[in-house]
Amino acid sequence: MDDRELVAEARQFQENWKDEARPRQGTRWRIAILSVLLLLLLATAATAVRYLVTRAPMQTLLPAPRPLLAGLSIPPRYQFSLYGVRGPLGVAVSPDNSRVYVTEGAGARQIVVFDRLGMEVGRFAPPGSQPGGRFPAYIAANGDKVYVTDTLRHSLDMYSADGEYLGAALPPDGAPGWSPLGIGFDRAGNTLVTDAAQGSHRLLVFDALGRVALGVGGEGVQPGQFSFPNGVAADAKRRVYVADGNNGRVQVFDDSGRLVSSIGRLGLPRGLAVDFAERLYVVDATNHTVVVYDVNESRMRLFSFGSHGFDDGQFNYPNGVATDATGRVYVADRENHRVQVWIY
Amino acid sequence: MFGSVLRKRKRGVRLFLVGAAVLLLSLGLVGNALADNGVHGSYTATTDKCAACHRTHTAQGVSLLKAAATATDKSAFCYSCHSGGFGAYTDVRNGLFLITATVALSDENTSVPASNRPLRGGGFENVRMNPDLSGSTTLTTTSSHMVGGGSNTVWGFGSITSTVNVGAANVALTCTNCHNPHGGAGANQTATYRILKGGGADNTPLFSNGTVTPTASVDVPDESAAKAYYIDNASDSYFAQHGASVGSTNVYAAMTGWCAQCHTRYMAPMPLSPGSTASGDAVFRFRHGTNKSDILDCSSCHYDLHAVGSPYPGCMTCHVAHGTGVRMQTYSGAVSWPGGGTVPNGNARGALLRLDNRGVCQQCHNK
Ligand code: HEC
Ligand code: HEC
Ligand code: HEC
Ligand code: HEC
Ligand code: HEC
Ligand code: HEC
Ligand code: HEC
Repeated sequence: MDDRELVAEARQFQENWKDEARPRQGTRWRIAILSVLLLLLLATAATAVRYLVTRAPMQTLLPAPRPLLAGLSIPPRYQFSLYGVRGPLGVAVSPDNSRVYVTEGAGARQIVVFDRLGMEVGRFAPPGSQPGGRFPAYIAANGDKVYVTDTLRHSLDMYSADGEYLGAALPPDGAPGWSPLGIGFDRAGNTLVTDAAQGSHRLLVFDALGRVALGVGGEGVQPGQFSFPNGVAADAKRRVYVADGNNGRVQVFDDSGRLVSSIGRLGLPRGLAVDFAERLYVVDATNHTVVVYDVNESRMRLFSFGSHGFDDGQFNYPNGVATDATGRVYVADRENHRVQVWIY
Repeated sequence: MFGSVLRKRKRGVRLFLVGAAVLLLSLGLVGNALADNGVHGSYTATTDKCAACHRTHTAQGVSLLKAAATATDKSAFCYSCHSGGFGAYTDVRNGLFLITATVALSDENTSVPASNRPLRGGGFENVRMNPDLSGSTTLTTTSSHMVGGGSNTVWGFGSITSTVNVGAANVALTCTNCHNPHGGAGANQTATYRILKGGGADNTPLFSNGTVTPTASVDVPDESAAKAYYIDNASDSYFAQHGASVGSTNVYAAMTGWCAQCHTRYMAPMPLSPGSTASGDAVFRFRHGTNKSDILDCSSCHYDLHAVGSPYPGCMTCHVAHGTGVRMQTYSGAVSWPGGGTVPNGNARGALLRLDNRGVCQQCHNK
């Protein structure tokens, strides 16, 4: 339908409306208006009651819109923020979308748990450690477990969904000296870890039994090498994306560890996530933005959201990102000490 | 799995070597491949590193920096790598060198953990140090160079005069007042220790408050022997090393001259005879000697007091460069600031010192 046809149709509609509406004006019309008003009043009252009972940010109480599968290139909107965290660096969502886990890089340096409404429901940390003796970095949830890397303890810690400490993963080569940084999972149940140990920056893939299935990389600037590999994530085709921090690019590997492509030129890529629509989210810390790509074939840059600043929807050295199945995007806004929630 | 990756890498290495050779031949130039680190310096003719910090057309800060440029934001920019181990091992915010030690040092002090050793400069928010000589511990910073901005006085800036002048006021300090993020900051683009600003042409002024804009002129030599990032507070301490030359230059003596570019009048000659520390300055009338190079060989007068390598004071003998967690009690915490101000006091009067109260004095005088 072209523009002219559209305009004609709109006119026609107006004419029809006038013709039909006029004779019916009267009691029926008034009843209609009144019932609409009544419904609105009830809805407002119900929301107000819910607000008083739960005291969650207003936006979260409104029904979440369904994710728009068709409009892949429509950026999300800022919705609200989770507050009460210091220097948040990593963020993860539980598989049922009900909980959000955030790592703190300052203050108490704990893992803070929020519910969907943004209410803090708990905190945990490695047992027996002091704030100055730990540094929770990236975090990921898989099944009923939560995995956290720690750049000070040089460990990959495992917790139950409720924060009960389950132990630390063993270093891959049996010898100490690894420095797990990024953490993620692919859809075959493999664990993806980036290791930033001095002299051996690499991507490690562990199978479901915890054996090293793949080790790729080395420290450097050549294709396939890394300089401080950070976030790691996989898509439905089990391609693995690694944020190659100081090299300003995201390197893409297939499931056998072969480098298939490289996405650049970014400033300081850090956290990564792949969402329900196979879109890749890359947090660019020094550009204060999240860049989104379509990972299917073209790896086309779709859009980016956020800019530098302190207002709602603006970032100040963002670091981690997580997506959930309801169309939410969580971004750890490090120097603004909050986690922003964006929705589709 | 690893095998195939390794084989591939070897072929890559050969390719890279050929490529590098071609580049070198065709361009005939490389950047100063010196000891500077990370994204700082050692730039080649086709370097990719600028993009780590600059945007050519879409910058949000002055100097075409990607980020905004208040002092707070500038230090946050450096923290984006230098905190937490996400882009550098030196975590200057928490005073730690975040690596797992693979080599145990023979002189290792068991009270210092093998990994995550304390940084030399201390830390801006937290610090691992040994301020009462009872063992290494993690403390909240009590006194630091305030890289978060604000309006500060550069104590002692200006030449010796008979009029009262506590220093240059209204200075917002950040990392790049002291460091040149590009490296090669010395005269003739030589590398300087810790990419500290030197006499090179590529340096922005040390600071500016609208009235004065001094430029750096003192090159702190790059001493490979002094390159390890951490210090072991007992066996590798500044007290023990002072006076000992590293290579051809004494790093500590050079550093004293470097600090004194901002704190001009704190650079004091060693008196030729004791008791003669009068400075000629209206406020700072007497000063502790801080400059060894002004004096004859100590041993010409005190052969028993000071054996070879014995300590003499330089700024770094008593102070750290970034931040400290020392605690100040009754007297030390109440020392007024130059010009007479009495706040902040208590622990906040820690003056970047290495030891609690006046522990630094006892290290030499042992009264
Ligand atoms: C580690 C981050 C970083 C990298 C890498 C970097 N710069 Fe800079 N650059 C800065 C900062 C910070 C400033 C502001 C300096 C100041 O305020 O004193 C700056 C300032 C400048 C300036 C203007 C002021 C001056 O010093 O003359 C130029 C020109 C410049 N950079 C060019 C480059 C080029 C060319 C490269 C690559 C060879 C590069 N920079 C790499 C951080 C960086
Ligand atoms: C007042 C000047 C000054 C300021 C401001 C300053 N530095 Fe330094 N920095 C130094 C000096 C001097 C050293 C060498 C310390 C030593 O060897 O004892 C140093 C050392 C370092 C080191 C090596 C590790 C260490 O502790 O020895 C790093 C990394 C560093 N600085 C980064 C930074 C960053 C990032 C900032 C801003 C957040 C900053 N500096 C602010 C003077 C400064
Ligand atoms: C670029 C100029 C500059 C250089 C170089 C510099 N300083 Fe400072 N310094 C300042 C300023 C500004 C202040 C006051 C504000 C603050 O504390 O940060 C200060 C404050 C101090 C203080 C008092 C800190 C406090 O608040 O308790 C000490 C001690 C000090 N400097 C020592 C040093 C030493 C040692 C060096 C050499 C490693 C040095 N400074 C190099 C600018 C400088
Ligand atoms: C992209 C990451 C990145 C950024 C941003 C960055 N640095 Fe660094 N810097 C490094 C790495 C990597 C090293 C090597 C040592 C290490 O791992 O900590 C280093 C080393 C240093 C050193 C020690 C140099 C030496 O000779 O030993 C200083 C000082 C320093 N940086 C200061 C700064 C300052 C000041 C800024 C902000 C203007 C800054 N850095 C921003 C990555 C970064
Ligand atoms: C010209 C001769 C001379 C030279 C050179 C000299 N001193 Fe002295 N120094 C003295 C005299 C005399 C005293 C006073 C001794 C006394 O009162 O017991 C003294 C006192 C001292 C004291 C105080 C001792 C105490 O009990 O607290 C120290 C410390 C000291 N000198 C260190 C040094 C150092 C370090 C050097 C080299 C940098 C040096 N001196 C060079 C003559 C000299
Ligand atoms: C012998 C130990 C010692 C040496 C050497 C030393 N300082 Fe200090 N500094 C102190 C102490 C102690 C204070 C605390 C205030 C006081 O006692 O005057 C201090 C305070 C300061 C202050 C804060 C302002 C003030 O006066 O309170 C600055 C700035 C400073 N020192 C800079 C320097 C510089 C620059 C050098 C090298 C040229 C240096 N200091 C060498 C011990 C020392
Ligand atoms: C690294 C060793 C060292 C440290 C630390 C040190 N001194 Fe000294 N001190 C000396 C030397 C050497 C001299 C003699 C040269 C001079 O007077 O400058 C001296 C001289 C003195 C004098 C005599 C000055 C005069 O005019 O005769 C006093 C008083 C003094 N120191 C007090 C202190 C105090 C207070 C501290 C702590 C803030 C301190 N010293 C820290 C080495 C040190």
